[in-house]
Amino acid sequence: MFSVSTPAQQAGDAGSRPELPADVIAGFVAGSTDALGQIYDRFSRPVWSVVAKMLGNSALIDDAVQETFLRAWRSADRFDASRPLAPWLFTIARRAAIDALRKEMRPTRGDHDEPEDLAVAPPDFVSLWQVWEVRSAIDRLTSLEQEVVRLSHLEGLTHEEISIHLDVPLGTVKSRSHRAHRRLAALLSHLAEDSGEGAEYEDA
Amino acid sequence: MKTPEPDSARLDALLRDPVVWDGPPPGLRGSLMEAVAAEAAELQAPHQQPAGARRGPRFAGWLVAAAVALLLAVGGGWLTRSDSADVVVALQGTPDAPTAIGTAEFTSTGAGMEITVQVEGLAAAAPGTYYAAWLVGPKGVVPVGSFHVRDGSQEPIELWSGVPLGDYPTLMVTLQQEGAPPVPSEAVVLRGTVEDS
Repeated sequence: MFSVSTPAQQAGDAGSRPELPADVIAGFVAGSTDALGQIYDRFSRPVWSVVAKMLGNSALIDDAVQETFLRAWRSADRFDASRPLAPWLFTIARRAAIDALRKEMRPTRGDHDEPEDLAVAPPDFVSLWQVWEVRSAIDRLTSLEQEVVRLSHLEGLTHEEISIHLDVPLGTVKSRSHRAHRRLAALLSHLAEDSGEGAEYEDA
Repeated sequence: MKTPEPDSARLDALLRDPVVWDGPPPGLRGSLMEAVAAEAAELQAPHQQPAGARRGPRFAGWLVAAAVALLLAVGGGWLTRSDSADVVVALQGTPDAPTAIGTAEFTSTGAGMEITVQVEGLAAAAPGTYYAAWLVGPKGVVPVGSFHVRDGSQEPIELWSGVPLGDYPTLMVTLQQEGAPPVPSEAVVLRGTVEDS
């Protein structure tokens, strides 16, 4: 069973939150489709991000994301509710993406660009988990904070440009940006620990 | 394995990656729930399966009792040709498990005999013990698998045999102790025998 344990999680970091209420997890294990829906609502974006990072092809991503949650639902009764759900779901997502890759794998013929060849090795395990964590952290921001961070990093806009783009005062953009980045730093601080008690992965 | 430290440059790189900002299309949730509902409906509804098809993971308990009652009405274990199994055998409880009943479906494959067992009324095997299934006949006893039913589910139990059913016509389930020799204990809880109709 794959598990991820970090000092922040073990210490009950104030920045962390329960993944989902215990009754939702229990319902999921019991086969409740309502609970599955809530789990989808909570984890569909990080699942998407990880799968997209591995596949790149949008048509494959849809199927692999759906397959991830279908596999999770089918094996819900074997999930240990005392363990965190995110690493378990992450493992299923990664394997669903690998299976999708294998179906599409074809040898490089040399007559097309490498990015077209789906037989390229997927990102490493650690990088994928960081994608999951970052996406999950982004989900914890408010809509405005997300937009400010997205425009800043993804679009490369300055605070002034963001202010114009969103039609909000420059001071608001700056304060939202500052707060958002502080929250991201806090939420992702467990990834930055270097005391030798960093994230530990136990492969099944 | 230690996670490399995501310095500000690494975090910036991650935040500049479109995949952390994209998400599933709105219709994917509905598509998923439809697929789940379809699977759930298929698992609940009695239906004809092609030969060799594997049953779903959940089975209504009342079907087990009904199947056993039918099988017993025609005289214990019987040989039949169903759409999915070559032989269906009724399993009856013993004084060690008087409320237990079950069915065993035997399906021939190229690798041996697939045995699907449904049980009801069988207590969960206590920690340190487990149930073992055996095929018994004039030539001796052959183990075909083990299970515990601790979660109270009524999922089909998939077993496997590499010997011909004709030589080992009785399926027996015993309660075993972990660490004990791998031979049938005296605690027999279920038994059923194939008989030519």
